[in-house]
Amino acid sequence: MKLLTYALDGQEAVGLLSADMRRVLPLKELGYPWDTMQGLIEQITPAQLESLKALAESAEGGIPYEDVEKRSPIPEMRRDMICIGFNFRNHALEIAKLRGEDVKTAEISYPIYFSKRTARATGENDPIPYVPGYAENLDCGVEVAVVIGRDALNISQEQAGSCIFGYTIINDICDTRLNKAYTQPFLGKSIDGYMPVGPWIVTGDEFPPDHRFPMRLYVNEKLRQEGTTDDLVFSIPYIVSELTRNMTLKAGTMIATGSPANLDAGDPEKLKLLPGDVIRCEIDGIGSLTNVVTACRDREDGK
Amino acid sequence: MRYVMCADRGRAYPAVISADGARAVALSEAGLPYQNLEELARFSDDGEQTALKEWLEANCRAGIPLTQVTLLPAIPAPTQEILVMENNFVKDEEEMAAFETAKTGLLPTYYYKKATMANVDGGRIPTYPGHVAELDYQAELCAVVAGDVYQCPPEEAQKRIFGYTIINNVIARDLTRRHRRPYIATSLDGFLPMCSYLVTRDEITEPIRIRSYVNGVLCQDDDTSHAKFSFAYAIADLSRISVLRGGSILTLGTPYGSGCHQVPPRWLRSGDIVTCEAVGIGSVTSVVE
Repeated sequence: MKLLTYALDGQEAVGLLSADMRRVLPLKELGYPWDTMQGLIEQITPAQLESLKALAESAEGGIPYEDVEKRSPIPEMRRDMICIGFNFRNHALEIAKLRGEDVKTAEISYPIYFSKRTARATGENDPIPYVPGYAENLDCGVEVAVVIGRDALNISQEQAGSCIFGYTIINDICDTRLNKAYTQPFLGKSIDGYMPVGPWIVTGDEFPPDHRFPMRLYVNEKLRQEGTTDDLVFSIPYIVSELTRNMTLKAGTMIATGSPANLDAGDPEKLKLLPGDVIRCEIDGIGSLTNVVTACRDREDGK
Repeated sequence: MRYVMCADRGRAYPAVISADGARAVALSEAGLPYQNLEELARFSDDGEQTALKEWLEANCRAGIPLTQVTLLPAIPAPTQEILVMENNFVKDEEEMAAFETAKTGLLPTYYYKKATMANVDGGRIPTYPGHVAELDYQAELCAVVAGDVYQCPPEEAQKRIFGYTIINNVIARDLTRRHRRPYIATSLDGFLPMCSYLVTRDEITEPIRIRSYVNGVLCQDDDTSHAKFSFAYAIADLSRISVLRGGSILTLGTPYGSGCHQVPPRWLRSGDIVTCEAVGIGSVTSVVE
């Protein structure tokens, strides 16, 4: 089942995507109380999830999907996106090769967690800002984002599926110059518009916890990244279990699980992203997420 | 003004301390609609603050004696961000001079501290045996951001500080090393002891003195003049192309003297009593479990 946040005339609401994927069924019209996806995730019961699933198959009417304004599933995210560095074997190897390091030691023994922050996540078709003089060295990366379904603490790997509400796509945009200048991936990943997440959440019941998600990223329809979650150094159940060890993850928390290697790694000219470039992320079983790089103004003083 | 969160029969509500310092006046009594201090910082404006001050002077009997209320942490369950400036203090004048010389091109190192709940003054810090071996304290002055900020020029940024409080940014040094970042190392449950007071910017003049004590022994003692980057710098920097939400907490990082600076390192142990203090603002004390 696919759940989404959309807007009509700027008014945001939560909807269910019909099984034929052509219509948005407003949850309010189906008799459910939630104004936001965050509220839904916090409050929905297993019985309500089951009946929604049936409605996706049977309900008639709704709004044609192409007529709604697309939004990120949780626009005002519960604060940051938890990220994991070098979690794809092929990406870790690529970086090691570029740096001239021993590829045998490239695989990390403990995950490197860090934070990507935003006041507001963007959705399908929203612009990715290219800021002349400030953020001109964009990079992108398709990743499976896990959405936590309940306040989760000390969850074992075996139980991980029980606290996953669903899965969505994040395109992890960053500016590599800012990452280097700040000697860490924080501000360079956290500019407004660098958190495209969507197009919807596919509920966890559709996949076993160790599901293998194939994913691809295209720039102007040219394939740039390809991989599957089989190639993760640390699996999704491992990550959920480690992150909840003595640390409560609130319902609605999202975790980006890692991005595969770039096919053109090491060739900066080929990797350059410029205004007008169309980036499309695709994950089988979830959907696709398209955004366009767009020039954006810096603060007036430009310093 | 000094703001607090009070607990009364299972209900938490924001309040302001009366001019004589003896009473807590619920914001609802003064006609303000906010449910907590995050909302106050995000949505209140200078006009409302001035009006509240006048209202308090005109209604000096409002509220209830402070002795009759239970105080919570200033922001008991943060829903906005906590952003820390790492390694932001110099040890001495020599380091400061070196930093001033090298300054061009240097930028702060930020990290994100996740927290579901803050620990109350007098509360406990968990030790997590088997998970954490090197438990450490860090007294950190915090600025709470006023209103949503976007593209704020540096010279305007000081005005976007709503007020100040102090936290103990508890950290597991071994987890920082293992995961190469202080992210989860500072984000375990119970790693956010927070002072009860949020004191507005107009009441405080910099430099602000920051201290910590372990079992009564002074461990950290420095002031904001030794911070490499100021709150105003961080607000301008973080809001340059991003919205920084009102109610977010920025910390200035910790002065020299945490347990990791002692020789040999002195990690927190069961029964230790740790106090972090910002002079003129308040303090927070915790007992290590």
